[in-house]
Amino acid sequence: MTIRFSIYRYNPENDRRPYMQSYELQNDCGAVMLLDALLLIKQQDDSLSFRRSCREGVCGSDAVNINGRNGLACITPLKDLKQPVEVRPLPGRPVIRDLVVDLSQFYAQYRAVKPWLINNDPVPEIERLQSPAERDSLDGLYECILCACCSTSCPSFWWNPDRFLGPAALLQAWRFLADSRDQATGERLDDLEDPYRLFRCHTIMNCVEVCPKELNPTRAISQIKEMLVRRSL
Amino acid sequence: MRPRPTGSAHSGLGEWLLQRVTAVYMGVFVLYFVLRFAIAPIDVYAAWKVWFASVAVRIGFALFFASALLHSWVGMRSVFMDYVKPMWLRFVVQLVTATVLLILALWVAQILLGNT
Repeated sequence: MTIRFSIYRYNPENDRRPYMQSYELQNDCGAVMLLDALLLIKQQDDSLSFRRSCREGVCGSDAVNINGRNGLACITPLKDLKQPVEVRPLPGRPVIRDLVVDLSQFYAQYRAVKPWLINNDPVPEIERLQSPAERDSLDGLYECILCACCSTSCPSFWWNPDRFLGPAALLQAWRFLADSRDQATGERLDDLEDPYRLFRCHTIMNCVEVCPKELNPTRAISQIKEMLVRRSL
Repeated sequence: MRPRPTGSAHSGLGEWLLQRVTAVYMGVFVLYFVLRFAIAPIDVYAAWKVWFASVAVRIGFALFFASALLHSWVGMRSVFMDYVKPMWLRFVVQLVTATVLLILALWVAQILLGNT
């Protein structure tokens, strides 16, 4: 018995257009997660390119589209996947080669929300204190590993990747709006209040569906909207 | 292509709120309308005219059509913003939509304010 794969291949230097290539692995090859399988396939065919690093769902570099659904190859068990396992690059991004996509626009949108603490008080001797409750409000926000599974599954991000911030960046925008130590709430809200940057979100919720960390960008986005409403009503 | 940051337009919240408020009103009105006609159907033109002569009913309808038109404007604009990329084409389709909706609004006003 074998495990069958169909993997997206595209090398812009040689190929006129992308194509799907079939691969097979023996059932007893020892692969548990999809990433194990990809590494074994790369031993058969070293021209196959993909990103990976920590191989345990922490670094977020091996996000791919698996049987039509974005996810991290390293934490996707092979046995749950329908065969042939179709592996494609993250949708909507320019393909550099095979499963490697260009995420510079995704990172630019992340930078645009100023994902750092803005606090103009003198730096305290030890740390900026928070109450346990204030700290708890950051749970479900700070855990994002920027794998891009959410933003590249979002139709609004497919249509306007240059102007819509996308779920990942908006989750981080809310992470700093929700932070009791941050002092730039007003400026952050001013920057977000835009028909494209924030309001292209139509609560499709693909982001929630695919997040490998089970975070909820849609809820974060509604919290931003609620904060904007409270500010102006 | 790198996004060239042009900053925020500082708008969008109003439209988003309007979309929700008008949706709620249309939902409530449709529910009222259906129940009203389920409980006491009006089957002759004369009875309809009597019912429609009431100011409250006309205001209810006026708000309903205002909601529907505003809701369509925000919704259609949203669709154009998502899918229509060339700026000139987006401007043209928005202008055509706005004109059509405005004509509909005037027509509704004529019906609601008329005596017949």
